[in-house]
Amino acid sequence: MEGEQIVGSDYRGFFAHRGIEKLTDTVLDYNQIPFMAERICGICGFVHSACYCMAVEQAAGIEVPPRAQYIRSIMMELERVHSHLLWLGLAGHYLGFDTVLMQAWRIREPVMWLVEAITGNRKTYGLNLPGGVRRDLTPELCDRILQTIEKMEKETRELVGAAVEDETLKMRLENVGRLSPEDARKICVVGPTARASGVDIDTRKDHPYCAFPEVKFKSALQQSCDIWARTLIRAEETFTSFDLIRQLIAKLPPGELMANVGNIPPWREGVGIAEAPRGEVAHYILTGLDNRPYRWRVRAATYPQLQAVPRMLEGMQVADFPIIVGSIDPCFSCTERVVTVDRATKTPRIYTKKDLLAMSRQRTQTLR
Amino acid sequence: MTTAENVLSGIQEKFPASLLKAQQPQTDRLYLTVKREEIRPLTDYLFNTLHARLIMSVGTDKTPIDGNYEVSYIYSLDSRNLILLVKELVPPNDPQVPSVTNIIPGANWHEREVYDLLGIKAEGHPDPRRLVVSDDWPEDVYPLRKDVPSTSGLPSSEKSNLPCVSPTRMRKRRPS
Repeated sequence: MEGEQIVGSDYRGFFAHRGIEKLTDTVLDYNQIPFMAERICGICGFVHSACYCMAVEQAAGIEVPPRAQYIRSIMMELERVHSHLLWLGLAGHYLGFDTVLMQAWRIREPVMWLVEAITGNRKTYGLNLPGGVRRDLTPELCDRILQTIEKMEKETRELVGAAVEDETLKMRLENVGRLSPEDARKICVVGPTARASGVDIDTRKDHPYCAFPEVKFKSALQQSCDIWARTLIRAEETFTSFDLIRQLIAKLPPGELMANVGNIPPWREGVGIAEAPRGEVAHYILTGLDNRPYRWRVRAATYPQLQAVPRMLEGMQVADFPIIVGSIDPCFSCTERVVTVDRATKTPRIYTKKDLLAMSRQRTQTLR
Repeated sequence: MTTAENVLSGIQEKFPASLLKAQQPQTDRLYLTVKREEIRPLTDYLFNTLHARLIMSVGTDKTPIDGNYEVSYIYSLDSRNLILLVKELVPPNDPQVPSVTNIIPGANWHEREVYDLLGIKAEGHPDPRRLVVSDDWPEDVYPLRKDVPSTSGLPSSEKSNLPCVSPTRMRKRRPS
């Protein structure tokens, strides 16, 4: 640090290393892993379990019935909606716009009730198994989905409309946390972070999976490389998701929910990829003997984004730190503390979460 | 020629001595095994000429099976709907691979993680610190190696390949 400006940074993480991959290698079997995968992330759990199932299905040559593919896609888009609204609320909170937080989470709440009606749970749906899904979408549930998203779309439009008009919000987010297109490509970032820097990648259209080959949509792309761009992309993606859910429900085919799955042959490799709300998620599986996996590797979307954060922080103020880290939509509970070292005096100082939040919100006040 | 065949023939042409094995299990998946020494020029070709994007790397301990460690780099050719897996075999008595981080900066954490969990060093890595294990983790314990036991104390699950279905929808049980 030089004064209040950040000149360089380093990320130290992985303090809560859970040993999931080791558990898989040693004790878990194919049917148990989807439930473990769902608990990798508290917000995009469904995508992880679906991606794992896709990797196994590929490795073993299992053909998933079309109805199950559609149900998976619908649930993934519902997850995207709730995740982006959650992010919008948190971003508002970091910047001191608590109304945005309250409104975004209020608008989001019906999705949580909706998935509870579909799966029995607000999160960790327990819906996927290699071969298909465990629960059906009845016609009543489909109607309920359509009604819920109609109301949500209207309210989201109002909220986003108000947010983009706010000059102070724009001042806090424009030209902050920039990641150049070259850096975005070299660090291999994914998702909204990449698309905000003009890197046009979206797993749903580049490597179509589940029911995505059957639907039409445009992926959001911006060129300004800053947090404002990431905000606009997430807002646009929420509306795209509403539209995708309607398309998917309209085309939902009848049929089986689960394929006939026998023993999984050993020594087959599979790579599953999917577009989580944060970006691309990839799972690698190597099948083993005794109908158990030999190796399972997960690469969540936030892994490359965190490597890009030091680039985004260069030249920025400490008060902008929370929103810059928040702009990649990280999949960890907010950084609890930041240690800074002042270059001139060589003294370290610890900023706790409370300090950082207060500084970030104070900065918005001074801009007003 | 399909995209995968195109890419494969390009690699065979430019790196005739490097390719040990090639498989195409699906139209959009290409799995290659290459010689460890040739990984850097091949990575440069994939990243800078073919504009592939690195998705992740995977380290696997297959010493109980065929006596090798494996380090695989998984790439995406986004505009051509192809996932490419490039695997190198690593002998256990010489657990190191050439680092590709100065070609692809995004490989930085992947190579550090492979070292932490499998003990396969990336030669030439610009920042070889511990990443996923704590600072006081013992130097010679690599958790994902097969000779390191899982101490979770959980009993190994019984073989189960029957899907569990929702109790509200009873279906005929398939024969095991």
